[in-house]
Amino acid sequence: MPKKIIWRIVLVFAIVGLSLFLIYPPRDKIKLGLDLKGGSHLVLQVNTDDALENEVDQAREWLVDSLIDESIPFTEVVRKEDRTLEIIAEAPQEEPIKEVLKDRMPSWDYTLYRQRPNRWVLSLKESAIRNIEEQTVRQALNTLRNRVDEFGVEEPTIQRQGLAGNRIVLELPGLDDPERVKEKIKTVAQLEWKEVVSGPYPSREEALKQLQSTLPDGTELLSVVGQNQFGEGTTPYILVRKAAVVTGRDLKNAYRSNDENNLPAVSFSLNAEGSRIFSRYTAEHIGDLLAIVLDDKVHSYPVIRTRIPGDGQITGSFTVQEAEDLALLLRSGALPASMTYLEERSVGPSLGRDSIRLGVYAAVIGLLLVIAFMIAYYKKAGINAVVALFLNIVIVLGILAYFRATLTLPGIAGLILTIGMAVDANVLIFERIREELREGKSVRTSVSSGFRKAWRTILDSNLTTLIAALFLFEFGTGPVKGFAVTLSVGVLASMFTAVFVSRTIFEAVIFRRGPRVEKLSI
Amino acid sequence: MRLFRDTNIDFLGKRYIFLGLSGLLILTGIIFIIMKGGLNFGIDFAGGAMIRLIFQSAPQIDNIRRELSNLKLGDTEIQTFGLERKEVLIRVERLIPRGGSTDAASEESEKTLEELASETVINSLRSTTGQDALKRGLIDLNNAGREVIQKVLEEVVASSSSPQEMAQQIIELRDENKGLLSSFEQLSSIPGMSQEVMKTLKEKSFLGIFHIAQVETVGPKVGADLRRKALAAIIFALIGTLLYITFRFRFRFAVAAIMALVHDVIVTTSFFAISGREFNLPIVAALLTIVGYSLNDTIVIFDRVRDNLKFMRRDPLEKIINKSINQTLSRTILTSGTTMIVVLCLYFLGGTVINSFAYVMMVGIITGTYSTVYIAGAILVIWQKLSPAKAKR
Repeated sequence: MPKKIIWRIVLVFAIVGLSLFLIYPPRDKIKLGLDLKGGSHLVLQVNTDDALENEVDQAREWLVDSLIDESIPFTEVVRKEDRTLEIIAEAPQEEPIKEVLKDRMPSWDYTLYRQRPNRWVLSLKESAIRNIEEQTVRQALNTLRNRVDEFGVEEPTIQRQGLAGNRIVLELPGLDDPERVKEKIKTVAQLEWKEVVSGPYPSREEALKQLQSTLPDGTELLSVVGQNQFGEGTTPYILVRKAAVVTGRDLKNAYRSNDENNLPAVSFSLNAEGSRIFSRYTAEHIGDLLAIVLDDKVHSYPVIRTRIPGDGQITGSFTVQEAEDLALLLRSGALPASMTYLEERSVGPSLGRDSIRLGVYAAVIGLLLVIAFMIAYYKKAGINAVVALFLNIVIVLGILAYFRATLTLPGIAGLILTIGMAVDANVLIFERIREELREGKSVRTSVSSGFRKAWRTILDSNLTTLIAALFLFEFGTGPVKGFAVTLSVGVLASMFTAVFVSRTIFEAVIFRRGPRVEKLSI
Repeated sequence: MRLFRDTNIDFLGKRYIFLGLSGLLILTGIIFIIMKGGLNFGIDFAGGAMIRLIFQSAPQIDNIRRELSNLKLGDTEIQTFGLERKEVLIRVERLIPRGGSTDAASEESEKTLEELASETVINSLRSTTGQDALKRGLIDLNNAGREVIQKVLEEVVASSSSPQEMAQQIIELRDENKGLLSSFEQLSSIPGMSQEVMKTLKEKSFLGIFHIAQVETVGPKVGADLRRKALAAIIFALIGTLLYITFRFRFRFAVAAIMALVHDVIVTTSFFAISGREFNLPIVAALLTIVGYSLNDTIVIFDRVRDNLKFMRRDPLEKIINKSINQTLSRTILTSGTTMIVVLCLYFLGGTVINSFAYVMMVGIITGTYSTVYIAGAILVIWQKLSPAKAKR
């Protein structure tokens, strides 16, 4: 056999072998989309307005503090509905006020109203607004990542939709209870400091026993996650007062720091309002326990040793990473941006299983019918086309596995469709060969000129399909994208199998039949 | 085997009749769509909620309809599927905003209208015993997730078998039974299921009358976005192909091909509107596939025309095109045939989710083949008569 044909055969086997290797074992290699595996696709909008409102509130407090610090007399600082602040000063002290604003409120523009003396109007700078929005979305992304990790979702996707903008796309495969997860994801991390009534107890049962099965009014039993004095395998519980002393809304900042023994800790500072309450409360409760509660779980319950004015430290047995995480969690917990679900698509795993079953069933029946038809119509050449068709499917799956593309239900439809369309290239070639044969050309010439003439048609027609698929991919979302992927991969693979593989088979067969081939079964 | 032996059908002779017929078809389609008040946009484009429930036994649709109309949520549509009509699909569109006066509404003010609608629908369809059970804090074993089931089990399961594994097995068993357990006895096959565990499960949980198989909610903003994107996809795909064909053939070929395509898309969309099916994202995908498919067909013929133009310089264009169509006729029919076979399989066997998709493909393949043979060439001929092209290529 000529070297050329042998090399072609080797190449075909190599590609098919590689594809098979990539697919095996299919259960792990072919990633199923949410519609087949079950799971949720969620689009959340981060309500950045909340963060802006909060920023204005905090700025007002900061401004009031600053004016007092600089002993500038003023009647009032008014916070307006349109997110501006107005200073009503007592005397026309342009210079000192300007100084304060420049130093302490760098992200604010201000104007002094000449016609209404002593009134300054402050508004947030455009760049500052953009900055706050950007940070809010980033923190929301971080918070979501932390939360999703908590659910143990395999391979979640958490992304911003587009480069900027306030939409976040979550893909959570394999969820079995989307409603609950949805709720938990959305709640803004709720950080609270609560008064400890009694405890800790080694377990819930123990706590209930000691409390004679009734909780005192206005209290609740919360589990402790951060601190455990009862040893491995137990979950301690602690009784706390329901009403929080201070909440995350009053938190100004939190960061990792070191305690007096140089161990990782988390420091936090509260805003003016929070500091006032906190300082009074701690002064009255020296020696008591104070629980730091995050999302209804007690992370630590330090003893109040002195009055804490407004900056405090949470110590415990943290690693550096844990301290870092807690600080992040506190910071995002302090972020009062709510989120709204713009879009939800949840599919239970049982429905997906049904879809796969039916999809595969339809594909197999369709494939068998096409095979039967091709062999009946083109005889032995039909077998050639069928081989090409099978290789096409193997290669498509191989490419999908390699790119870790997800197979969705419309993706399966696309795959089935390529079965129908892949034979098109073979039909084009075979019809051309038949034409050439009818014109009385020899088998060899007919085959080679049939392939040559059909090639241009195949290229043009497949490229146009590819162009359409490209736009589907570009503008499509979710399942439509999946469809575009399988369709375009299918078209590309069919160009290889129908043209290259089929031709190799033809040439090998013709060569084996000897130099004079009189008839071709086509 | 050969289907067509040297056919010599005059496809272009009656071109005005076929063009008229197509024009009439398009016109009727457009009028029909307008009369129906536009396409029946699914929630992908219109926004709203869609819920797919699988019931233990076929529910009384009239009851569901009455129940839902009492809720006054908006336009609701109910469909049943499956051999035993146990699968119910509910769509709620054009949601009516609720007055924020009730406590429930103000408490959950952060939820969107769509979310509230889907929750209300699901809750209203539970049996009264189910609703009572939920109120008493029992869990619905036909819808609860692993974690929730695990919590219940944790109270009784001996340390020897892990409650986590057991909960997982309960879920698996449920999934295998289309998401529904019909009796607690089904659970006895699970390893570690003791009398005591069973007793606790019976106390702490109940078996709801349906399983929530799918929930989709799309806000109006997202719907508008998706609509815009879908339209952009179709328009850009058409422009992209227009450019490609102009590059590979001639501008007039491109225009003829695009006109045939627009014809296919409109005819298919009209047939789709007549069927009353829901127009959603996968349907756009199907339409674009039709664009690709029909184009494929047209290109094959144009390619022949390009070839024949070289050999038959003396002949009028009409004759050349007619010959090209005849030469490729068996290929056109064969490919349409094999594609049709698989699409029919999808239509009849592919399941409910993919059915509408297959319907579009079915109609599209027929009009695509028809337009390839009767429309694209006819436009070229008419154009040639109006302004004869210089012999190029």
